[in-house]
Amino acid sequence: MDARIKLLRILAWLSAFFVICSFLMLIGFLIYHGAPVINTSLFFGNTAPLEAITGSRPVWDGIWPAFIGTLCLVGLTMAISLLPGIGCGIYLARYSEGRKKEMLSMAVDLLASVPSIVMGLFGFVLILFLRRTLAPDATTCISLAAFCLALLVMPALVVTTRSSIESLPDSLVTTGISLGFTEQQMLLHILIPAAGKGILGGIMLAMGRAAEDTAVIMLTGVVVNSGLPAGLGSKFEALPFLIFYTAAQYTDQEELLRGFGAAMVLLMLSAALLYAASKLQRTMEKHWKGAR
Amino acid sequence: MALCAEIKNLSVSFHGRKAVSQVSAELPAEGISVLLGRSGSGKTTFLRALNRLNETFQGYEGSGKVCLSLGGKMKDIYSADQLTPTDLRRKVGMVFQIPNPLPMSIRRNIMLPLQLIPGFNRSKAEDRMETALKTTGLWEEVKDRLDTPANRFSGGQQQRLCLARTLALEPEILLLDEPTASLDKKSSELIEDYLISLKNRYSMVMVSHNIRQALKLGSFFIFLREGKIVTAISKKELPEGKEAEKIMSDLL
Repeated sequence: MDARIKLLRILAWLSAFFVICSFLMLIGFLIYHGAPVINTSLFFGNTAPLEAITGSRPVWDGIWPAFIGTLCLVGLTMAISLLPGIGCGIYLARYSEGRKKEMLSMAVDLLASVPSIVMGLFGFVLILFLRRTLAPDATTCISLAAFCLALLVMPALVVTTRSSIESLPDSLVTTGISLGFTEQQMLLHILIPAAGKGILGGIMLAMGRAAEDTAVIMLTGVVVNSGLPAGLGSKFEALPFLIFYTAAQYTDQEELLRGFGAAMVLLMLSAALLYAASKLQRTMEKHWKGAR
Repeated sequence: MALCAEIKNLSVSFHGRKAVSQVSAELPAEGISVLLGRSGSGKTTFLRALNRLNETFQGYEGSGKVCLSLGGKMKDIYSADQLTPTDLRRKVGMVFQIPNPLPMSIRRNIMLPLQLIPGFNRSKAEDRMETALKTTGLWEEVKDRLDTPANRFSGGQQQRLCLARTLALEPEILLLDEPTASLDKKSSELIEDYLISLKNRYSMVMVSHNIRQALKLGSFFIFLREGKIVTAISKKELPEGKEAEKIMSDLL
């Protein structure tokens, strides 16, 4: 018996070690290649930084437009997916019953299993359909990419919201009801804040996915060189696509290194987004709990 | 005799299983009415019928009539036009068997339910919080730690917080579901003392399975068995001392 526990412990330790090692190797590899090339010229090329940031002059050989493009894309994706994703999770956890619940959660599971390239194809076909029917001028653009990405990341939001609300103790609901909370007050002031950490987990997953996905945007509007995104209907650049493109098409060592730099920046961008989200959640939770 | 509750032919079942069937009773407005019975006798369901809590659980089915004395008038709490469940539950406060503070600070625990009453102003809420905490003897213990999470306090303190939270809503009737069952002897006695001090201000209905406690606090006793009322007696009809305890345990 004792030996078995020991074996289990060693296995668990090895597994943890494996995860840490893989993580460190990946990060180390990226930093080794990427860190030396991170400077203003990686971002802005030969354009003056201030002019590039204000957009008064285009950036030709820097990753700035792709950086901003990815930021806009993630923002737009979250704007589209947050409300329906979390709303659907709440509906599944609190209001649906029986067959309806089964059907809906199966639909969400199916949506979660759609490969991103298929989602990209869907967006492409959708725009073809729109061109033939309602909007003959419609073309692939950042809105379409964000819409398809939103479909891709929504299941993560639904599932985490649902499970974190369902895992709250029943006594919380009973307490709220006995204190005269209406259903709406219960959701807003007790259930959603109490499940905040879990819901944030879903938001992080969704943001990470939206920031790194390449297959969807490749078919729905990303290009190699478009400058900063000009509007909701414009083409755009994005870091993951830039990395993919560089890896496939680089001609000299310098270009390859720029790809590593972009990968490093994408990683930092994701980390910053995640940090901001968790900071926001902690602040909100502190406010809700009123605890110092 | 003034009444705080009038129950007629109350039946409640969950998933088709009867918890309370065809129960009728009249509870006096004065003092504490105690519901007694073994586990599964329907005490808690009976109690929860008085603030319409039963209907929030799955598989609920119910019938019958429950009238409570609220604002000086007998009101049918299950009829839609008299008052909403939300208003009812603010007027009929409840304390549970296991202390159930919300996962937030002491202050927020009491303030949040108040702030959610439409048109309630904040400074008045602060006053009510202080009064309620004083009434349950908690103020001196927690006044410097109002922003500490409630679950860091002892079970007895948490239960007094829950009582204070209910009192802050200024209810007219208090429902107590074995409020001392999860506490040690000393904390139980403390809660009992506060309940006695409150019994002239509120009509109270309490579930208990402890005969000694029932005799100490109660003035009217209802015995339930398998969802039906066996008998109802007032304290005046009972003899003094040990004999009363014996009669009560025979009825249980």
